[in-house]
Amino acid sequence: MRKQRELDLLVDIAKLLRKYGSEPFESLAELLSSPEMTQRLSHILTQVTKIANTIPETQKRTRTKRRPSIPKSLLTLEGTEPEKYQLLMKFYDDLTAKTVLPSLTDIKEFAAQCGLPEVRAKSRSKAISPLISSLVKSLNEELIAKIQSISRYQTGDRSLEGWSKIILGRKQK
Amino acid sequence: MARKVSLINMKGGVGKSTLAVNLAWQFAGLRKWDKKVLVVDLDPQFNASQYLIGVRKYEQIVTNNIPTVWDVFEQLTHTPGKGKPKPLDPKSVLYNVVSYPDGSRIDLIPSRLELAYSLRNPGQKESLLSRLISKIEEHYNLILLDCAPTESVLTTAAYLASDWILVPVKPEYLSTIGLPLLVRSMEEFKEGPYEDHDLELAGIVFNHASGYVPEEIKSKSEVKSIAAKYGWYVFEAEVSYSRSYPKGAREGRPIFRTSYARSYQAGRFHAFANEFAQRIGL
Repeated sequence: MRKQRELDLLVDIAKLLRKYGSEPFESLAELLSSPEMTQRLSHILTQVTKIANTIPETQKRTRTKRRPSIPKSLLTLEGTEPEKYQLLMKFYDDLTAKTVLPSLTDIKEFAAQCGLPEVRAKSRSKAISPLISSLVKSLNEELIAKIQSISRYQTGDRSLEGWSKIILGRKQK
Repeated sequence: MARKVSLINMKGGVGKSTLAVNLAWQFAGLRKWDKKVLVVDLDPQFNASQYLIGVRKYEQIVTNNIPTVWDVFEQLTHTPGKGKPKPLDPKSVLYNVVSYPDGSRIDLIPSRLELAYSLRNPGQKESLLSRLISKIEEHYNLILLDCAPTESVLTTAAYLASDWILVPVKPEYLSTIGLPLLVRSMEEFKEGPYEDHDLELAGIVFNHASGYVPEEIKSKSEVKSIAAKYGWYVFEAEVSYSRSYPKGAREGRPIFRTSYARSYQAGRFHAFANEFAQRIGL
């Protein structure tokens, strides 16, 4: 039993090693070799768990609602196609942070222009999962091209001030 | 071969650019159609360019001296110290607005304010646009020319480059008078040196229609009556007035993708687009 838990921990460490690289891993391993440090860390984690348990249930629900769930099809890529997984996770994070395709119309338009199945969701947050699920099926090269093409689909600056500068011959800052 | 249609009315503010851009999106952006569309902005006010590409992309065109429709008309103009002018590469003047994976697309020949200067020295320039279009038309299903509302060398250039004329009419008194002015202009063109050029009136479309205003009813009735007398086609489908059209222009989107646009407004535009496509054999 103990061996299985150790094996699980090893798998988790391997994942973290891939995420953070070997240098921080080695320096942290040195730090954790001190029993005092392990004890302190364990104490801190216990405190964090206690605080988390005191948060009212309603507050927890609001928090979990904010971020749309990561589609399973994306999660399964982690083991099979790590490069695609990284690309899509970054895209997923950008979508949830609204740094790309900030409206539902943008998402629908992007899907249409990439030849993806129509996104029928009625809210932006509900549109993210189906969009990611359709992108999972793309080849890596296609995926990169599609994500890079996003800037072309943004309607950009359409302000009177911008046009005035062009018409009156003054350069944009 | 591409269907080439000029949107003209000798009255300004009837919605030519809005109609041209929305038709382009309709035929390129909807899977029902999947067409390759070229929009030629022939108006020095460059509203179609503004609508289609926005400030930043337009600024790149101006800053990087990317050819526009002005270069089409000035390609053979001699500039002191620059030697013999070279004909313009037709592909260099095409600006891609949007491409879809199935090959459908909207390209634009943008306009610029300086096009107004071409009008001051119009000699021998009217056939340059049609010559350029003849070299690229095989790549498109539909070419829409958004024209300026005044008679000039640009109007003759548009007639020469087109097979059809689409006339948007706002159903109100002064706008309707633009119609006979336009038909007279077309007739003068046909009676002149270009009598062999086939140019047909695709039809008159009521734009900004709202239905029940007495002035509108009277204007429509007068237009229909004169159209029947001269055999001009009037589209059954009308493009209704909606605040979503100017909003769509601000957002750079067609009516069917403008935020919070009513679906029935998009539906009415679909109906007009269908009738228009049928009329020109698209």
